Amino acid sequence: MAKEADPGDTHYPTITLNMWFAISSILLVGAVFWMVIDDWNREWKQWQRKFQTMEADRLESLLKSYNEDPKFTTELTQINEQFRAAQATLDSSKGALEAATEALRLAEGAKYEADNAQRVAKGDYDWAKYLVEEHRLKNPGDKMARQGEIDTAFALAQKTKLAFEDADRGVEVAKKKRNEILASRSKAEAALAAATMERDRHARNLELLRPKTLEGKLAKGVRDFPGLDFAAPSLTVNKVVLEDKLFFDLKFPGKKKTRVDMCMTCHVPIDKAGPEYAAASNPLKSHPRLDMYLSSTSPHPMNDFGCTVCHAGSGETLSFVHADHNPRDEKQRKEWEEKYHWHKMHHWEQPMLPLQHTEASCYQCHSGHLDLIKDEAPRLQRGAELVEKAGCYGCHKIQGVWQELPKAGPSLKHIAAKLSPDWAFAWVQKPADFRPSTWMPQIFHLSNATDTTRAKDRIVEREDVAVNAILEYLWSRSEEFAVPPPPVKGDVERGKEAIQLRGCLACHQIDGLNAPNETNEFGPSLAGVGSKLGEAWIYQWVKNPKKYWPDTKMPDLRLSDQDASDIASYLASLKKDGWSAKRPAVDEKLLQEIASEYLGNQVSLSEGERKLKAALAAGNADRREAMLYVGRKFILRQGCFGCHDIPGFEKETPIGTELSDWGSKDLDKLDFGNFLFTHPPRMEKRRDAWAVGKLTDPRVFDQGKIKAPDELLRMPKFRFTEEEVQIVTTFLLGLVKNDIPVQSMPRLSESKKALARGAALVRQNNCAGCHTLQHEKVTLKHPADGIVSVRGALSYDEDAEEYSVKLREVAPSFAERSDNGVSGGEIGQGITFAKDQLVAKGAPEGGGLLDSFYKLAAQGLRLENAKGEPVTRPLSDATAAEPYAPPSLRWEGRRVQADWLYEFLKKPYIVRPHVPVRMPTFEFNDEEASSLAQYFVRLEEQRYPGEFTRRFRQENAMSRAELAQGAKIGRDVQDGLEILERLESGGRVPADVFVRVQAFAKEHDAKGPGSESFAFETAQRLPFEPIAERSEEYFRNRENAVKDYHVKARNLVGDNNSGNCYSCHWQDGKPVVEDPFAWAPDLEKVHQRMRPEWLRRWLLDPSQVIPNTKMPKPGIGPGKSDAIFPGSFEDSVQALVDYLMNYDRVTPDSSAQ
Amino acid sequence: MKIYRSAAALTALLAAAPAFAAGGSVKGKVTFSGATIPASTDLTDQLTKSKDKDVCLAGPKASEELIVDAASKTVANVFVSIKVKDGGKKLEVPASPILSDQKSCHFEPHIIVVPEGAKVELKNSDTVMHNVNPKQLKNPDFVNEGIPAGKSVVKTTKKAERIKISCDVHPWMAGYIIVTDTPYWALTGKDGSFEIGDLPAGEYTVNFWHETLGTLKQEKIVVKDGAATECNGAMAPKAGG
Repeated sequence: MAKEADPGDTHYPTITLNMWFAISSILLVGAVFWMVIDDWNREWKQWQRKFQTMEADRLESLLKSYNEDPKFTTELTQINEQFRAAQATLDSSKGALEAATEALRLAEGAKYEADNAQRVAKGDYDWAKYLVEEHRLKNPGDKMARQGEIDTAFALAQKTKLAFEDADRGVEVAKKKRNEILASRSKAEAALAAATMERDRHARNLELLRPKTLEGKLAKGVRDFPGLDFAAPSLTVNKVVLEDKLFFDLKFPGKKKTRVDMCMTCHVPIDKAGPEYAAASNPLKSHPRLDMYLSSTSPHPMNDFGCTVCHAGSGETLSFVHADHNPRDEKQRKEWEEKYHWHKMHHWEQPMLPLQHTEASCYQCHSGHLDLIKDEAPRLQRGAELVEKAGCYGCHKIQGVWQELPKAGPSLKHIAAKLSPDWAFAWVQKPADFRPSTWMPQIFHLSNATDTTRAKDRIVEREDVAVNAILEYLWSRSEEFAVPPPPVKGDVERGKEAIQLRGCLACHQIDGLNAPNETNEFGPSLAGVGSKLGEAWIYQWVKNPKKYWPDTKMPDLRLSDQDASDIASYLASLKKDGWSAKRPAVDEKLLQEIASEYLGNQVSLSEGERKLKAALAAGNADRREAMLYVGRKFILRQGCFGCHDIPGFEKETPIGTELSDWGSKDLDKLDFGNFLFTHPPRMEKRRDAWAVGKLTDPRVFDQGKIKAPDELLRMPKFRFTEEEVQIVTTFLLGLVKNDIPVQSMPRLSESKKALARGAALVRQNNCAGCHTLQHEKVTLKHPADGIVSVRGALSYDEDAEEYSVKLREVAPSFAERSDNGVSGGEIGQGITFAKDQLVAKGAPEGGGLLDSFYKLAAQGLRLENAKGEPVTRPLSDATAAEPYAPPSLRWEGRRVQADWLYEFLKKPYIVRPHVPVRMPTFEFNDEEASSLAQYFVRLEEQRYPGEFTRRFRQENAMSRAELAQGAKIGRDVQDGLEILERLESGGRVPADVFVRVQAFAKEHDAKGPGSESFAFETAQRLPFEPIAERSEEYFRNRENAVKDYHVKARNLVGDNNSGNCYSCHWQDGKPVVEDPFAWAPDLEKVHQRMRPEWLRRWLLDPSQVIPNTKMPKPGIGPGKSDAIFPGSFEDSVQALVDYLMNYDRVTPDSSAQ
Repeated sequence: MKIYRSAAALTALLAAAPAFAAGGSVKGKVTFSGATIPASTDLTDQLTKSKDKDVCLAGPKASEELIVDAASKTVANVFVSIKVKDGGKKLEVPASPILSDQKSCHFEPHIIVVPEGAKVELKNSDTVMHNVNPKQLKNPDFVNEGIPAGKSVVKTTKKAERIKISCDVHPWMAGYIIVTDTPYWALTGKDGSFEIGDLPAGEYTVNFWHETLGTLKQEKIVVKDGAATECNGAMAPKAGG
């Protein structure tokens, strides 16, 4: 029998148990230590320690520089000296100070006593009041009982109060007396503190970081001691909490949480300005663009925007890997793996954007005005431009401005009138074969079609049938479009000249005439176009492009019949070498197979389809019927109607996935296919990797997949370069779902809005193809100033081995210098420098036609005289061609009146008769014309950007609300009152007040229809003249000052001996001289067009405004035109300005008076 | 023509006097070496169509940009210059301005040579308005300026440069103002000949420049005291031009 267990006994021997307890407690203690040490040595703490060292070094060297700075030390010695002197003076008058201190002590004592007395008296008075009030309530008979008691108490309270005030004054006097004695020392003390404040602050900070004193060392040691560092450590987690600002979307409906970013825990000095921080390496480096981001004065302060709003990633983590940093390329990935043991955070849905894609985030708030942030986010803007050019929005819906864009490709409504099916077959099969630069993507015969594993499916053959069938459909539905032959016979050689002179090369590239560049690839290249188009069609097209394709960007150049016919002949003569296209026969069997397949796949069939199916099954189907059916099916499959107008597809919805929030799409929803195995370098499952793969080869995810022919991927291939693929990817990553609260969105001023809209219009209409928008920049090494930049035309003198720049803009930065041959100066002046001083030469922005004109200068420029006869002449040198090329728009807003510009854009006419290029008719609508007019004026910050609105309203009888909508002018409510006041005093209202009052009206109108605005009605009745020089008052004042002022000025303009402007300028719509090379703008319209300030500056010295201009400085002034207009040169010029601005008022009749 | 020659002669004379015995000279001829002599552009049509034809038809009716003697093929208006690095005479700047006249709608003379710092009088002797449009980079005083009939303006040169001048009212008008930083220069006459004297003995590069024929350099031309070294230039139109 077993011995019964003793209840007090244990299952284990005590000794064993004790041993295990001992071991586990040792382990536990070890674990605690390990934990404490591990916490003490966390990744972010290591970085912060490094930062402390860096900061301490910085402060030490800073302090050293203070001590070594002779200016600082002398100053400090002086102040110390003063302090010592003041102290010495004080010491000598020790008795007086002591007496004054004693007096102050006594006065303060007296004040204390007086204060006590007055408090007691006040209390007594209150007590007396209570007693008397109580007595009077109990004895209502006597209303004035015991009044004497109150009076006595009140008198005492008053008396003690006055005594206290006296005592208080006594203290002030005593203090002042004492301070007077101390004054000089106090001053020296303050000076000393001020001088050393900065230094002492640095020293205090240094003492905290790297203590020198024993207490400091001890304090820091304890604060940061492992295990004790929870209380008040010097290393802390830094964070930004974006409460109620930019939320973090948890992707559950309605679930949002406050965004907290702790990135600055490691990136400690990220928002600190200073060369040391900028030069440091990550993460102890400051942000490279503190002017734009993080700093409190930037538009994106750190406390309002944090980090992850732009960079994405996980903001609430404290390690490199967990923050989900993502490498920009393979090299960086390898580096990170070694350095940080980096790996992808697979479950974080908002990975940090690789550095090259960071700009994507700007799209969240700035999607509507990308042109405005072009310099800050160039990739994003360029990405959007590529998406626009490639027409991605045709198949993929993208919210925003994208939905207002016209289709990217030409209309196919009248295709039979334009093309032959043979040419079209070759084109659709592989567009780049005919035109390597085309934007039309390749749709067929891509990687998933040519894949040998699909040979049995005969994809390539199927696609040939498809192209044939699509063409059959298009031709069968093509609508009537008459293409009569040109009314006059064209000449190839003349056409070649005309195409260079009329500005066609601004948007089109032709081999041998112009080299491809950014602006002349705006329209399709015309190389070999004769192999595509017939002469008659080209004629009809260039005469009126919008007739064939209403949405085309090609403007109407208002060509003469002869010009158009010549150009048509020339273009038709441009054949593509070795080009012959023949449509292959259709594989009838395959056609029927495909038709049957489609019919079989369909759930329900229409009557016609049922018949076709039956006929196919019986083997007696009408071939054409089958072709049209298959053609329609393939157009639907490929979504051709996304870019082209195709009859019969007007109501179809685009075939692509919506991209509006592609950037936040779940990674699991992106089909990577076998991509991750077949493309190991891009193994990470990342959105950008997917996009890059898709854009490089849109069918890549089909690789190794088993699919039926109709299931294959169908996105066409755009021949993006590697760089373009990356840029478009940046754009796509920016399309994120994110509702930014209104208060965090950018609030653009009216001016900024106008600039954004205008810049987009300038880009979309390729204004830069003809006009220079920004002059070329030349960068050079200046011996004293270092690297400097000027804007102007660079030329090289081989003999002297020197460069010269003819300045197109003032170069003020080194205007004072003339050493080493480099000096700044006014526009039109040259600056010369040695060969080795040139650093870089930039191209101008725009002005694409200039090169053609430089070439034409040598060959001979063809102009037409008044009778339309050609006059051809070579010019003396290349720059002499500049006046004949389209004008630079660099100063346009300063030069012209907004009102004129608005009307000119709506209805262009010939301003410069000597320029053979015509400003085309773009058929701008009101909004576009007014936006462009405002854009140029606001760009130059000139007055009256919206002055055209009034005339516009009058002519179109617009409603107030409509006008207010269009006016978009800054507002000032005060103006309404100002107008009333002025009207009452019989004065005139200045134009700018008038303009602003319209905006005031807008405010009233916003209250709803019918709410009358007195200011607006008043403004409507006022005489409005934005140009002061054109007001009657101004005119009269001039006439009163000088007799026959304007008539004299008119003579100055027309005088044959001095000014003689009509040696070149047109007069009243007609040329005065016959030679078109001498022609210059009509003076009749100057008053409508020019701003007087500009006109004056121009006339004072034209070549200082536009170098290479034909316009000379007027030969007027003393010694030249005294007989006609006595006065200085400046006065004579002012007379010209005044006359030209009132040209229509000074008639020949008035000269007879 | 007269004034510039006398000015040049005067400069040469003044400078030559003290160093007469010691110096040497370079002399030679410039000839046209192209296959065919290009015909000068005929201006008659432009002149007749001009509104100022009464004045302009009195002047030359052919362009003056290239004047080649048909028989001897010698080229006029070639600017020949030598840079002397050490020694030699100083650049003399005349006190009175050197004249460039506009007469019957052409520049008279066609080319003037002006020492750095000298003044130039741009004159209009016609009864119609002219302007002088100078293509310059180093002489900021010269701006495109209108000159009324019978008036003139005076400008100061600053740095060596060949300034092309033209008139925008009469687009055929063209001429040159050559600003020189060396006193050793000559302009060939109709016979294509030139002589540059007073040169200290030594080895030089002789530079030829013509407005349409371009530049030519004759290197290692040795000058000896009291002797005349011969140096001829053969110039042809630039390829493609």
